[in-house]
Amino acid sequence: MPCLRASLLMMLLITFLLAGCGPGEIHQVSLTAGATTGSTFVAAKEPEPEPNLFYFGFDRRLDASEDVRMYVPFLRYLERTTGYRFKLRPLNRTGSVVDALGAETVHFAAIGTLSYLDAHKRYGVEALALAKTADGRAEYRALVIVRPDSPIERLWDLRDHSLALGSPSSTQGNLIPRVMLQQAGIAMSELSAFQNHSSHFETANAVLNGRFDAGAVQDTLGRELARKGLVRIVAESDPFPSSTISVVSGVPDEVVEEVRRALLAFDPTERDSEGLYNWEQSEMPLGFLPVDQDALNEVQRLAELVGLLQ
Amino acid sequence: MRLGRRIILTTGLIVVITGLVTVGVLHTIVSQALGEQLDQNGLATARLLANDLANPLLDGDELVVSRNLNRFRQEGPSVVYAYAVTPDQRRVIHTLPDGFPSQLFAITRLPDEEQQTSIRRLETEQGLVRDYGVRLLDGLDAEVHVGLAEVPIVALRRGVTLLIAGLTGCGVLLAILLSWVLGRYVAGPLERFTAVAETVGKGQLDQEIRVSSRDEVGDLANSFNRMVVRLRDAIEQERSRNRELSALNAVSRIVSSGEDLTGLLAQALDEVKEALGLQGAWIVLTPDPASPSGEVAAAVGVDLARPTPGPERAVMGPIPLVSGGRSLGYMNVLLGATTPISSQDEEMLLGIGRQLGGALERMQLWQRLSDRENRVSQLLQKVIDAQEEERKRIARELHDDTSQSMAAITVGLKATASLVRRDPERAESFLEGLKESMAQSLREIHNIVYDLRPTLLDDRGLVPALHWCASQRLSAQGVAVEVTAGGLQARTPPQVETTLFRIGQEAITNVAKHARASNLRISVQTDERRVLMSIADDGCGFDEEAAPDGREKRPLGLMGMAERASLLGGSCTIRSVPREGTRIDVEIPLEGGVRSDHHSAG
Repeated sequence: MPCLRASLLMMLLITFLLAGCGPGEIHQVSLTAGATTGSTFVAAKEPEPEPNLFYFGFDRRLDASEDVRMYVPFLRYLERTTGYRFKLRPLNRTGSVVDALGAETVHFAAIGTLSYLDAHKRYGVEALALAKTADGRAEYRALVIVRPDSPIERLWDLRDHSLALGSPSSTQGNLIPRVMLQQAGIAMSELSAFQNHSSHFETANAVLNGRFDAGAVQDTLGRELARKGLVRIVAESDPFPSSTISVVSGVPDEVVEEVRRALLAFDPTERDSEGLYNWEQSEMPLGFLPVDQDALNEVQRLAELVGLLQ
Repeated sequence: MRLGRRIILTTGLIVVITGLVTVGVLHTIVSQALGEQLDQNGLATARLLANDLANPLLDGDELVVSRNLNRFRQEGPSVVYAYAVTPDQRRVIHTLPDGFPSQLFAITRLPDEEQQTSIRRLETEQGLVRDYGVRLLDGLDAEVHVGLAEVPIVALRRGVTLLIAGLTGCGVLLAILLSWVLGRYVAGPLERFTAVAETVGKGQLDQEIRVSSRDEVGDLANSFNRMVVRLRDAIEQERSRNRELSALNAVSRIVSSGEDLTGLLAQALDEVKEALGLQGAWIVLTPDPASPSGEVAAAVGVDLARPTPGPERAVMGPIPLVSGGRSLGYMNVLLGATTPISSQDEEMLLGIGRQLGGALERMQLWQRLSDRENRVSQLLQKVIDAQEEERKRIARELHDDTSQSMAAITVGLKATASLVRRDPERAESFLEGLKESMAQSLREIHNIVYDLRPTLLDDRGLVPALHWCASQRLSAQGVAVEVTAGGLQARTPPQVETTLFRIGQEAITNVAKHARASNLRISVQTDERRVLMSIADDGCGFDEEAAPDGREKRPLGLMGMAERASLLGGSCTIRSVPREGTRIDVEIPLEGGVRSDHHSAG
C-alpha cells in the first residue's frame, strides 16, 4: 500500500507539473469595440523627441525594403562607434528627403549630390562625407542601358526612342543622364517619351519589361545587370561627385564631428563588414572620403545648367 | 477482504488512476504540442505577411496594404484579424470590420525595439485568439500582427481527450474483467491452500494440498506438503526422543538410587523394556572385557534357560556397557518380530549402555575402595604387629644376648675385681675375656641397629644395601645371592631407595622364610624416567590363586610391597609358579630424576 500511495502521489505531481507548463496569460479583448470604423486607425501622436536619438533618412535607390535592410546595420555601426542612437526613418514614395531634412524630422541622410545641393541651398544642410565608390574615389557615373537585343548601339541612337529616368532628385538617375543627352546634342523633346522613376530598380525594370527602350541608372547596378547578361551598356558618363552623408544644421557640433569621424573610419570591406547587408551594392561600397567642395560646385553648375536646380 | 476482491479492487483502482493521470498528461502534452505548432505556424505566417507588406507599407501604398491584409484574412479560415502598423506608428491598417480597438494595439504591440516577435493569448467574442506580432523589418517600428483562432486546437484537444478517456474507460472495464479472472485463477488455489493450512494448523498432519500448476502457487504447495511431511517426521522423532529421554531418565534415576547391583540392573532393564516395547532384555558382566563370555547379572522377560529366541522374536546386541572407554559387560534385548527399532532407539540403547556402564564402574570402584580400605586396615595392623614384633625381637635380642652378655661381663668384672689384688695375672686374663665379651656385645648391638635401618643404604646406596641384606639373611641358608645394577649409576631419591630397599628386604625375608631357594638374583635398572627392580628366586613358589598358607587372600607382606610401590606411583607385580620359583617386578617412576652421588654393586 505505501508503494501504491507513492505511485499515486508521483503521478499527481507529474500531472500538476505538466499542467503548469501551459500557455501564458490570457487578455480580455473586445474585437467589436473599435475606435474607428475605417480600415486604418490613427494609433498615437508624434512621439516626444528623445535626447541623443537622431533619425536617418536616405534617397531611395533600390527596393524599399532592401534599402531598409541595407541601412539598418550601418546605423548600428554608427551607434557602436559614436554612442548615440540612430533610427531609420524611411519615407514613402511621395516623400522628399530634402523636405524631411528641412523639417528636421530627419537629422542625417544618405542623399545624392543633387539632393544635397538642393537641401544645402534651401535648408543649409551640410555634407559630412562623400561615398567612396568601387574605384576608390569619391566619384560615380551614370550608365544608359538597353535590352541585349535592342537596336540602339550608341547614345545618338536614342533619338525617337523612349528613355526611363530616375527620381528628379537623383544625380545618377536624372541629372547626369540629362547632362549626357545635352552633351550628345539630343534634346529631351527629341525622345519619343521619357518618365521619372522612384528608384534605379524601377528604372531598370522599366527597360527589362520593355516599357522603355533605354534607361539611365547608377553605374554599380547597370554593370551588375550587364554582367548577368540582362542588359547592354550603350553609354557611360564622366565621373561625378558621389553621394553624400549630410546633416541638418540643428544637430550639435560634437555629434556632427563624432559622426564625421565614424564615417571616415568606416571600413565596410574588412573591419566593419560583419552584419552589413548587401553593402557592396550601395553607392558607398568602400566607405567614405572627405568632401571635395570644388567637385560639388561643378555639379551645382551642371544642375543649374540643365534646370534641375533652381 | 478476500484476496480475489483485493486484486480486482487494486487493479481497477490502479487502472482508473493511471487512466485519469494519462488523460490529464496527454491533454496537457497535446495542448502544448498543438500550441507550439500553432505558434510556429503563426509566427511564420506573420513573417511571410510582413515580407509581403514591406514594400507597399514603406512606399505608403496603404490601399495595397489593406487589400493584401484582407486577402490574407479571407484565405486563412482560422485568421480572425490582421493588422499592420506604419513605421511612424501613427497609423494601423487592419481587417476588423467593426473598427480597430485601441485596446488591442495596447496589448499586442511589441514591447521594445530589441524584441522581434510576440505572442499574446486573447479571449474575444470569437473565442480564444493567439496574436502573433512581428517587426516589419529589423530596425523599424513598423509591426505586422496576425490573430489566429484557437478553436481548431480546442476541438482537436477535446477530440483527443475524449478518445483517450474512452480508451481509458474500455481499459478499466477490461482490467476489471481480467483482474476478476486473475483473481479467480490466483485466489482459487490459494483458498484451497488456506483451508488445508488451517486443517494442518489444528494438528491434522495427514493433509496434502493437490495443486497441479507449475507456477509459484504450485511451488508453494509442494513446499508446504514437504514441510508438513517434515513436521510430521519431526513430531514423531520428538515423541520417540521423549520416550528415549524418559527411559534414560528412569535409568538415571535407578542407577543413582544406590541399590545393589543386581536389583539396579533388573530395574533398569525393566524400564528399557517398557520404554521401547521390548520382549525382554538381559545383561552379562564380563570380568575380562575382551572375553565374550561372562555372568548374567540381570534379566527380564526372557528365559535364559531357553536362549533360542524363536521365529517370532529376534535378539539385538550385544550393546556394550562401557565406561571411560572400557567395556564392563553387555546387554542384549529381545525384540518382537514386528517391533521396529530405529537408529534413535539404537542410540538410546547405547546411551543406556553407557549409563549402566558408568553405574557398574562406580559400583566396582566402590567395591575396590572398600577392599582397599580393608587392606589398609590390615596393613596398618601389620605395621603395628611388625612394630611389636620388632620390639619383641629387639627386647628378646637385648634380653637374650646383650643383656646376658652384660650380666656375664658384670659377673666377670666382679670376679676380676676380687682377683685383682689376689691374683693379678688371672684378673688380667679375665679382663681379656671380658674385653672379648664386650666386643661381642657391641657387635650384637650394632647388628640390632643395622637390622632397623642399615646405614649402608644411606652411605652407599640401594644396591650395596640389598647385597648386604641378602647376604646377611641368606648366606647361612646356603642361598647364592647375585645383585646387579644397570643403566644410570646415579643415586635415586631417598624415598625411592628406601621403598625399594624395604620391598627387597620383604622379599629376602620371604625367601629366607618360605622359598627354600638355592639362588636369588636381584637386578636394579635405572634410567631417566624410572627404576626397575626384579627379585627372582628358584624356590618352591606358590599358587597365586591360593595363598601358600591356605588363606583366601594374598599375604600381607605381598600386599605391603604393592602398597609401598603404589605410594610412589609405581607398581609391583608378583608372579609365582609352584616349584618354579617366584619373580617380583617393581617399577617406580622418577619424577625428580636421579641424584649425582654414585653407588656400586658391592
